[in-house]
Amino acid sequence: MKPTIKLDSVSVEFPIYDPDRSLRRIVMKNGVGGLIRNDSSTGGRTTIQALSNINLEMYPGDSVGLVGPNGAGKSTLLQVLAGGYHPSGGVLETNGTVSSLLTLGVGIDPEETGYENIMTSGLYLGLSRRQMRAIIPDIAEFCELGQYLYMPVRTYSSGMSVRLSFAIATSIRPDILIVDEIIGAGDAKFASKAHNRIEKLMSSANTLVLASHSNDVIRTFCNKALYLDKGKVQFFGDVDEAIDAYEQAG
Amino acid sequence: MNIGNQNAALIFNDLYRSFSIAQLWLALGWRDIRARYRRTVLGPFWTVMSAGVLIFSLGAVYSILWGVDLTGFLPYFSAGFISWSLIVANTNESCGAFLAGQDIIRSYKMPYAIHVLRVLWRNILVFGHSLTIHLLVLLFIGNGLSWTNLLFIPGLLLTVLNCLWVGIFIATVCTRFRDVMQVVASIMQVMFFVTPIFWPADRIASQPIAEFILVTANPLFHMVDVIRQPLIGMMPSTSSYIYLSVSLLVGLMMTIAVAGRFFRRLSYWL
Repeated sequence: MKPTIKLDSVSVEFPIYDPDRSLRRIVMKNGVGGLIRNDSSTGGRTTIQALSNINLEMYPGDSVGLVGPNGAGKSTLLQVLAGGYHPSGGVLETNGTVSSLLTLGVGIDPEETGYENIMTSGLYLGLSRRQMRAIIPDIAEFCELGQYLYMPVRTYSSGMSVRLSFAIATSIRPDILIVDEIIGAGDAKFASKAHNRIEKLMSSANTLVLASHSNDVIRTFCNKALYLDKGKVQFFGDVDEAIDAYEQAG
Repeated sequence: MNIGNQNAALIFNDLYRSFSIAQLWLALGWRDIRARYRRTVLGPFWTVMSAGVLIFSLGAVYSILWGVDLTGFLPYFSAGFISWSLIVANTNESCGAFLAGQDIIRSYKMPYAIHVLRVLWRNILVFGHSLTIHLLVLLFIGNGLSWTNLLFIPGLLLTVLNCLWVGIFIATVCTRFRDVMQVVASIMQVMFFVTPIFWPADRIASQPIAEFILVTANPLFHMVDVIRQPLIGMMPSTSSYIYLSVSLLVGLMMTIAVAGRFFRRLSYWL
């Protein structure tokens, strides 16, 4: 079977272009976060090694949970999978459409109406206007904004804009879905509705990658888990074994 | 596959994907225009108004300064000025194209050229609006319209294609080296005065060295002239077309060499 996601010795190194003078000289191992380096191998520049030498293969049907402490590289890995960063070393291959729920509200223009923003966001997600028109009723119904969809987004309350961006982000059915913590949105009633929608979305995805600090969430949604620490894969495989390994290390 | 081929494949793939989602940047370009003139009564015609005032007043002053006939000079100045505005706005605004799109670049799997195409498209729209000024100048002051005027379209295409590689090149470099943005802005300001736009190109024909530097070798002269000449009812020189075709080819190779290498690092620089 062809893997939907394949990482071949993928590394991510963030260059820091305006470091503090004192930081420039520090080469240290941190309790939290990636390794800050400044040596001849980086050409004298300060870099943060967020991921180093990751080798992974995920197949159709895999739901992979990401566990690990803060700064382990979970979010960086998700961003790389979502296509926001090219790996600074190694090769990433993805087969299928990728969609992510990493940051809500990107590309929303507050001056435009809700409907106009739905259209533009759809184009960002890689859909055509025609495809977008077909799913607008679903978005409109789910976000319950009614006539407000004809108003500029700047007139929305913060809860209303979250509803809109959440409804848009969860309206398409990608092959590969990338999720960073399941976020609740809006008031209690809407939050439970949002939860159901995200669960439905996750179960329909061909391949799911989900980072969470809640082991229950990982156990519920994932059939594999990846324990990441200091930018390296510590364990990849069975969910319970991965969580055990993480908890023993902590 | 060698590195050069890889870079070329990266750039052409990015451009191909950008053009296949043209709907997106066409919509964003229009949105930028709408945003600029939101809640104004005249809307985009404010561009036309301000360009019109500038063209008529400066055109009148310069025709007196150079001692040339207004009916000949004003069409030359208006056509040159609106063409120049397209080029300079695109060059200056491209510098920040990737910075303006940084949230998109880091969140969606989108080709990068769309951010430059968005800038280019909105400036083409501005050019389209400004064209009405030139039309008025031709009808009321110049010699009227002729079929030759339509030849501005291939000229515009050639200039726009050159603007595209310049935009991608400059946007990439400026994302890494933020100082370049200021350098570009000051260079373009100087270029406005040294390129024949508000002074007739034949004025310096008597000084061959100056003519070579400011006219014959000046890429901005050719980019303006292939649009300007047809708009005033004259044929641009063949050498301008050749110059711009060669610069398009050379520029594309430069863009592949630089942007092709740096596109992978782009999101780290934002």
